[in-house]
Amino acid sequence: MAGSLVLIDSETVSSSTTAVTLTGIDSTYNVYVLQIAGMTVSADEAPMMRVTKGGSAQTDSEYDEAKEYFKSDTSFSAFGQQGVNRIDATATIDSGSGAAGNGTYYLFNFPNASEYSFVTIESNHLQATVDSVRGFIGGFVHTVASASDGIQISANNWTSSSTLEAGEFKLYGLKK
Amino acid sequence: MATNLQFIKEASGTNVTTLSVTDCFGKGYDVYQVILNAESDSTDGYWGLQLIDSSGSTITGSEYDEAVLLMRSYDSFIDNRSATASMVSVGYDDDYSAALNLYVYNPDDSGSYTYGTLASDGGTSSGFIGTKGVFVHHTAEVISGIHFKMSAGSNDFNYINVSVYGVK
Repeated sequence: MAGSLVLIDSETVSSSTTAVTLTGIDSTYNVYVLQIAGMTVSADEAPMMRVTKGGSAQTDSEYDEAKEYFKSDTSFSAFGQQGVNRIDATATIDSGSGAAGNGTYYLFNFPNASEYSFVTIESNHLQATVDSVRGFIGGFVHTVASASDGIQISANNWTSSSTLEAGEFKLYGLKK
Repeated sequence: MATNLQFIKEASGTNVTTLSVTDCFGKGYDVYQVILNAESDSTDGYWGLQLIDSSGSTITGSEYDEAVLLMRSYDSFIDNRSATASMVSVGYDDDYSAALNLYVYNPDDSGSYTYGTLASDGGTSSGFIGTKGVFVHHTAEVISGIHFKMSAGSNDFNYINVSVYGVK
């Protein structure tokens, strides 16, 4: 297993920023992996995720998702929707000390112009207000058959003027 | 070409109730991947993990939040959750063979809680059991290692093998 990941793009957030965009996906690899560690926010917020094409985040209402919403504080729930214009990378991260969002996301078919772009989600975070761990496990698809070259994670989703404050964002290719 | 999944350490045991993998974190990575394969003895039981602090002590207090879905091939699924757990219940096994893929986030950061996502396989004589879940160690401190144990002290792992990697 050693040596199977090849770093394609990365960004370290250490001061307020609205969005992180990682690009460089092409046909070199079939599968790409995004890892997010220690993502914090200025105000309680669920950062959103969109695929990029030509370096631009796709804001069309072409995203479908299905996720199980894991909660340590109350019953789990199934979560699905179609035709939305962005995907929550995590649910609402608390903006307090120690809180963060993290996740591993596998990206499939991104360089393939004749296929949709699929993403599997495994994320965890400290949920705002209840101060307990929650997480998403599931996936989403961008139902446009054209090549995607990256992915964008951004704040200012459900909370106006929120920003990303910290985090390591890394995009890997999975070696063939 | 740079490679970015770095082997750190492996540990193993036979006929043991617990296995501590010490000093496997603190190597400068934001994310660590832990791979485990094991088998319990013939007594049904949850098995799980605890973290090891910077002084080498296993953290046994009620400092873990967990949310783990137990998926059974032979019966309904179970939501296993707690905001005051003293052990993260990773899986359930009864002489069936178990496996785990675990990502650990931020253990090196003294200012952050340590988070994890997990997927495990296991089972009993009734059939297969898989789990998916998340957890947090709800105290901001440096974590140096990981400790695996059967939930009932009398149960043993027939064998347990653990490998830890850094994701650079």
